[in-house]
Amino acid sequence: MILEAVDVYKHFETPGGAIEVLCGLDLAVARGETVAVVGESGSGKSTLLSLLAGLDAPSRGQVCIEGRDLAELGEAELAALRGRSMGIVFQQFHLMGGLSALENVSLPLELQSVRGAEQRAREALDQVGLADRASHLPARLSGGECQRVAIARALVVEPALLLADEPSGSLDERTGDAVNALLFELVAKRATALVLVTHSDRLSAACDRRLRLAGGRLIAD
Amino acid sequence: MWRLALREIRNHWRFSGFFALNLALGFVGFVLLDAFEGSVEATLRERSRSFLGADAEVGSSRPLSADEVAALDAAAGQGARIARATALFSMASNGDRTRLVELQAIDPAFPLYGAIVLEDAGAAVAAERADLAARRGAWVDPTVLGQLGVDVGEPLRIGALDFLVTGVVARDGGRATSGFSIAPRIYVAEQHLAATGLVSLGSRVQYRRLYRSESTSATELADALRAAVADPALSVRSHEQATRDLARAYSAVSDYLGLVALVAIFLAGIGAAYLFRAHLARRVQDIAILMSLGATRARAQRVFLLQLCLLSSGAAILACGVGALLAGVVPRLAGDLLPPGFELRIGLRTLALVAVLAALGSAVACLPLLARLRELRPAELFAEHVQPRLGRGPRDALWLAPAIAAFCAIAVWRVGSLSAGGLFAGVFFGSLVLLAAFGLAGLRALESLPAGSPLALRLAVRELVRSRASSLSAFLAIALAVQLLSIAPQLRGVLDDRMQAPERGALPSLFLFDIQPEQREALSAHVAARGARLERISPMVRARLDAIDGEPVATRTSDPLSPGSDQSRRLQTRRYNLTYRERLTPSETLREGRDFSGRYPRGEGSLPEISLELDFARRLGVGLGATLAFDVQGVPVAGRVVNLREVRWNSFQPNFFVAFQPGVLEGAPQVFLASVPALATSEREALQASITRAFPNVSSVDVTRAVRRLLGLIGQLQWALSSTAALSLGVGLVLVFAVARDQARARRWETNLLKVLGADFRRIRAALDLEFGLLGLLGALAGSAAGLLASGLLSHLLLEADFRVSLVPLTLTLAGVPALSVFAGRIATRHVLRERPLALLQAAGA
Repeated sequence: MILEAVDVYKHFETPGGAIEVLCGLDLAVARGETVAVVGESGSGKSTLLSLLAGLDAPSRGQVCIEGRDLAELGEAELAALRGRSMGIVFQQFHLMGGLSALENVSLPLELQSVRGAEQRAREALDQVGLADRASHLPARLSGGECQRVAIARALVVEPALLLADEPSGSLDERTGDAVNALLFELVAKRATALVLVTHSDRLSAACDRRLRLAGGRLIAD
Repeated sequence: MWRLALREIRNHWRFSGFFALNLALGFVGFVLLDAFEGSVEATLRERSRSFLGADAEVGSSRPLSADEVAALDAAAGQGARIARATALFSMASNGDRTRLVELQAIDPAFPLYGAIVLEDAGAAVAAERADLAARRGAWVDPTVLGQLGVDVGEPLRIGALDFLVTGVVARDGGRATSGFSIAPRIYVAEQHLAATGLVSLGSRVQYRRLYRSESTSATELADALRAAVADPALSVRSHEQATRDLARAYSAVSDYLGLVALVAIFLAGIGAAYLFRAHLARRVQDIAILMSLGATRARAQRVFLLQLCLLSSGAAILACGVGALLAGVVPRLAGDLLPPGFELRIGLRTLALVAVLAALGSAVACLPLLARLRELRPAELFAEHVQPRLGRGPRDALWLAPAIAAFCAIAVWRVGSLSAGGLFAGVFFGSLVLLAAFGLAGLRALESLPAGSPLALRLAVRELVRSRASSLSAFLAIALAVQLLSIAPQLRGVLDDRMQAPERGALPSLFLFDIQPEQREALSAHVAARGARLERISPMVRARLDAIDGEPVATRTSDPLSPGSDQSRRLQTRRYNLTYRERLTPSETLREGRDFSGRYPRGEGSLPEISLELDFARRLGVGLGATLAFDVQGVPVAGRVVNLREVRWNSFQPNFFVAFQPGVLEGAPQVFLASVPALATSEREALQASITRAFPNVSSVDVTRAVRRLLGLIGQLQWALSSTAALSLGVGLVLVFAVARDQARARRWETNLLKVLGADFRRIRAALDLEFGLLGLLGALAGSAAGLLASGLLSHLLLEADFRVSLVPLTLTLAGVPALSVFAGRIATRHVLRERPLALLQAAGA
């Protein structure tokens, strides 16, 4: 398994008391498998993704990536794992506004001191059809183009696991469909495991498995 | 990491440029002062032989005996070159006008290093020297020509002898500076000195015997000479020792100015922190993205720290560049305050020092902001309507401690004294706290603006109050800068009042010295016959301090310096001017002890009573009851300290460190000092000329002229002080500009909405003008008030003068600073104001 979450709990403290978001959640994703996570607003999908990405820690339970328990890793090891083995595609793209498309895509490779980062980044941009926009800042790209750059950035490190949070959520339907199709194509090519959070039935149907997040747990949908 | 940091700088070039400019402005003053110190040191070191004219010299207030000369020459070794010079103050006259001059009677070998360069003739070599002796010539300082109205080839009377002006000194390597001297120099051949009649018993003459050795170092030569003399009254010094005192004087001035420059640096640090805070706030999301892509938090902090260091280094280079441009201006403006041959050089040491200070300074100033990155939660990137933001915690204020400690440490280092540096830092932070309290109170008061006030005013006040942190930062920067700027002109006004208005004070017109005892009555009658009177006729007896409380001065030290150190040597060899009198003078105030108990009762076995000046006693390390033993020209005289008094030295009256009760020193060789009260200029000059004609050995100082010269020098120093403080104002205005730009950016949406809702350009502009005008006005008011308070305290404590507010500089500040603030605000906000509100709708629809 590339990803294993076992009996994961997560609560948040508020002035009014603790709010339980995840209650004993279990999830296992095999290499190359695509899993869709659906759920209503406020069901904890964003919280789940942040735990899987190692950007937050569970209140209880275990999250393992490639067999390594994230709780046992120091900050540096966690960052390195995230930089080498994971890719994240955000709903709002989250490109760095001061960097060009090429620089945004090469950034994860530079952070890991990978040689030939620029060349690999160019190839990644080419794969998403934006080779001719390499020098453009995000402000000069459309929403769909920004998301394609974000996908290229997420996949340039050839991660074992890709986390995607509503990749087409900020796009119009036609552009969103194109972006989703590209995402699945690239994931399949690389046998990258994909955990995809989405509201879209059509998108979730394209995955190998569909799980629903309800009551703080994942159940088969 | 370097690549990321450089990319950050490149991609955010506006912030980078502004940040660097702000720091550079703050450091320009420091660059110039550090370079000034280093250059003075280098100049004095390189030219110290020229200043002394020798490797070492033996100085004495009496002619050396033949045995002493033989012993010294033998100690100098075979092959040593020798020269002689005799110096004294005297009056020179063209018949109608007289001036005090420093007369140097030299032998043909003088100087042994450097040269006296004459206009037209160049370096004075054998021919010129022979001419000097043969024609009874005089080489004069250029100012003598103008002051006495003489020219080359015309006669000049010195003492009882007429000399012929045969040359004008274009460059005198032996003159360390003319800035502090009130007497221009005249060179004559030594064989004519006796005929002037100026050298008599009691005259203050300095005999110098100079040596140059090719085979020994200057220090070894000085040591050998010192060992060869038995009389401790003979002073021996090497060229390094001779320039050390001068270096000390320059060091004191630059230390003081350095503290003012330090304030500019601190303000630049505040500006840096503000700019960086705003920059970091805009970059928070990017930092969260970086962390989500595999960067650790520490790495993200290091990238920004490296960015800060690189920008600071750039600022240091920029500051040095600007300093180099100004380096040519400073010596011209400081003029004769500087040693000849002085060149302001900005070297690698200055650049490195400024780079380190800039990098460290901006790092510690921005530390509280970088520390807040630890609260950043990149997980918020997944949240739909929440943006990652910097946290704020109760321990944030603790991160200011390194910045405060760094400022205190630099202040102590600049001044070289823990107490003085600590006091400065304490006063500075005290001012900061008071001003901050004033600023917060001002903002609070603005909140209660009446509801019916004009819209533009309400908008302006709302923005000031809403952005409290940035308003307070800008206010503090302006107020501190104004405080610094206002002190110098206010104190200058006090000094002007104190020194230039004889009708308000008791300043004399003329100060007379070298009056022989037998000349007193005749001189008094002479002055009275011309409608004036001679006052404060005071005896002056030359003596050497031999022992304090029974301990010889040669072995006494007040700190663990070894015997033969500079301090004990100065105590040992310095000649003191003693006087005797019945009671204190009007320029003295008793601080401890009691008045003299009348005339000294000889035969009773008690020690004579002594009165000491307060600071002098402190320097000697003595108090009431101490015994001082003097050698009064071969006769031992001891006394006990019965009082300590404060002396107003700026009364320009005959004042003394040491006074004996009457009945002790009357039989000692002595001369007299006296003063002549205020006279009109023409009367003063006529009287001075007549005294010189009738009493050639009596020297006189035109106090009015001297005061004017002194005020001129103070004016030059004030210029330096004001310029340094003006840098602080520049930094303050940069901060205002940064605040304005940030505010404009932050409320761009709101400003465009106002336009959509019908507000015209003029109204929006008026609101912005009022906002920055209020900021500038509050800052100017608070800063001026603080400056007046500081000036009042300094006037009272340091100058002992009544403080009177100088209205002109105050008015200029109160009007000028708000205007500058409005101007900075207009420049910063012009883009946003001119933007079409359509941009708002387009942004909303994206």
